[in-house]
Amino acid sequence: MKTESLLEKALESGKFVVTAECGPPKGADKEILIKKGKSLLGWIDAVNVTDNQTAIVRMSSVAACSILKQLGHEPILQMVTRDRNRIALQSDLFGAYALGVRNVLCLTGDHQSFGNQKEAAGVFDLDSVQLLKTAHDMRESGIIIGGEAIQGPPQLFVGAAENPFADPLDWRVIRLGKKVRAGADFIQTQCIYNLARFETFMAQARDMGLTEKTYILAGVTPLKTVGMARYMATKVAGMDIPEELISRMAKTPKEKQAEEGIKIAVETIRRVKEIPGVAGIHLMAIEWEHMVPEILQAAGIGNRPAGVA
Amino acid sequence: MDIPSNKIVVFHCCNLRLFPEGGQKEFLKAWPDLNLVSIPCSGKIEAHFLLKTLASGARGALVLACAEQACQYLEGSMRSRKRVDYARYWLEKIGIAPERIEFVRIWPVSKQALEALLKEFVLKLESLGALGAPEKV
Amino acid sequence: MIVAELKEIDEIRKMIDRYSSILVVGCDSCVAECAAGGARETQLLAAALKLSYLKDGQKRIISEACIDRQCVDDFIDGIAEKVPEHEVVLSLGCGAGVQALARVYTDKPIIPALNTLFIGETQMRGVWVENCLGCGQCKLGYFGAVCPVARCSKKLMNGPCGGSKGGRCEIDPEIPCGWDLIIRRLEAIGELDRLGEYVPPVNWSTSHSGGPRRVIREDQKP
Repeated sequence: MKTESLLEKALESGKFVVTAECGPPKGADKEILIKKGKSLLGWIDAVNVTDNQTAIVRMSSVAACSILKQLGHEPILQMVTRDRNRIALQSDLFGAYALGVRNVLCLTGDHQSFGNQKEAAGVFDLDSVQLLKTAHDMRESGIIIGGEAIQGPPQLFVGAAENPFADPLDWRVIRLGKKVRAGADFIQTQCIYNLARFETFMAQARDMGLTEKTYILAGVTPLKTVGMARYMATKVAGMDIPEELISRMAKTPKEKQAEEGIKIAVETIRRVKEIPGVAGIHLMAIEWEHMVPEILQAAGIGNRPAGVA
Repeated sequence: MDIPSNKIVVFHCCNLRLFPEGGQKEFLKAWPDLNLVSIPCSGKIEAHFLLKTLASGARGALVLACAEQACQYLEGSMRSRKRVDYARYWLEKIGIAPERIEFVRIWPVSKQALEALLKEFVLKLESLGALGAPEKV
Repeated sequence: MIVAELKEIDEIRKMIDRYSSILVVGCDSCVAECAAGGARETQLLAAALKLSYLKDGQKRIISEACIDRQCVDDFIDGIAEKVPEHEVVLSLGCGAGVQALARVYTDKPIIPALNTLFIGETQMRGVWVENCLGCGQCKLGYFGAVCPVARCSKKLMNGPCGGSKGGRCEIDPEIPCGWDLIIRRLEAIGELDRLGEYVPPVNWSTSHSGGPRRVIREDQKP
């Protein structure tokens, strides 16, 4: 074990790991977060706490991690490089660790033009790979960027995201390798709808020996409606939703679409579970966190024994 | 700012040969407010010439171009159209009727056709009134 | 070159309405190439302002001049006689030109007529694109002469991000993905190996982050 992370412990045990996303509220009301957190408690190994996702201002990820930690969750701090420079990012890594956070997912973040602060300056002092290496070097060498030693370097379990569906396609696994070399202990992927493409990606990752060096968690997002499917297919960057899935949703009567979306998610989970090198799943049930237990049960993944989460 | 006048300036491609049988002098006598400016190609026109023409006191400017296919310089007649559009876009921004600048591809050229389109343009300008009065854009 | 755009005439009017005589000054270098502030545009704007004031029934003296470079004193001297005859100078120079005029003509208000946008190239007639951010330490040699700082919307040094689709940027399909260009270009010249290496954080201290920059060359000084 490199860290005290319970996520690392779960992954190392070899069981099929489940992480889920929990978006902090658009405001300071922590009860909303606690309610979401409670619905996930006992069902997942770790909870991803998003960092102003899609560039919408929300409660800070560090604060939300701390609240969820107090609830009994194992938080994964998501950190984007869009809004903070290296001084703020490194400072937040210290602070988060001091508050009990043991995992970080390093991201660049959606461009500010997608969010509700379109006139904001995009910082992008570091990119996600550089942030990843920074967190890794803190743990392994006890240094910050520039090589200066620090007191009590955070011992974080460090993750990165990868999108197997973005272009250029052949480049994705090369970039995954770059992230692994920079110190990615675990990888969470973009939502998977195109399973054939994901299988190819995993085969490439295995060929490069990357599944030996990092844990890959397959991203799953249940579709609520055909409208959401169409929106994601056309409007959300880096999303690959095959036409047959969209028409399957479209053929379903409106009141049954949510059910169908869950069915698709369950099928996806069953299939990715069989792919060698997939260490678990990452469920991103956007504003639908309370459905996570139902999805997991239907997929035949039981709840987590008390004490792990 | 020059004093607004009744002048109308017509920029025309020299290749149009507006008066193949002569008679330009007589024609201009009949149209005393007209200024004919022959240019090597309508594509030589620029938005700033047109705005300057109005800013110097003319009440309207007309660009006569060859048919698009007939342009001796291939793209000239196509370009002049875009430049006139750009000048009109500026007039609109300022709050002056863009119709004060007109673009016409004339073919075939005849005295009758020329007179007809000039009459139409003058009527249009008369309906707009003097430049500088509040415009109906 | 520096690429700029003319401001809206209403915004210019707001800034100059208080003056009775205006000298409109163009710059016939970069901003002429991008059709924003050269001799043509100077005449266009002067004429447009005349018409605009005429329409409003207001009197103004509007003159025009154009110099080759508003950012170099030798050229700025070219309008030395005209400037005192006017209350204000409306500059069609880039931000550097406007400020150079203000440094030389200390007692004269200088108003910008352009929004200065970027360092870029004329990709074709009528199309100008940004491709340099002036970061102060050119790394183009490693990226197939396509700049990740200027041409990736997120300035990624270890790109591409997950939003690249069909060679287009996630923020606007009109923007080509800089990283797609980098990869294709390195592939074409057989140097894809350059991208295997991790690229450490950029040293932004040579960019504007290090404060306003200057270059001093003793051998060039008078």
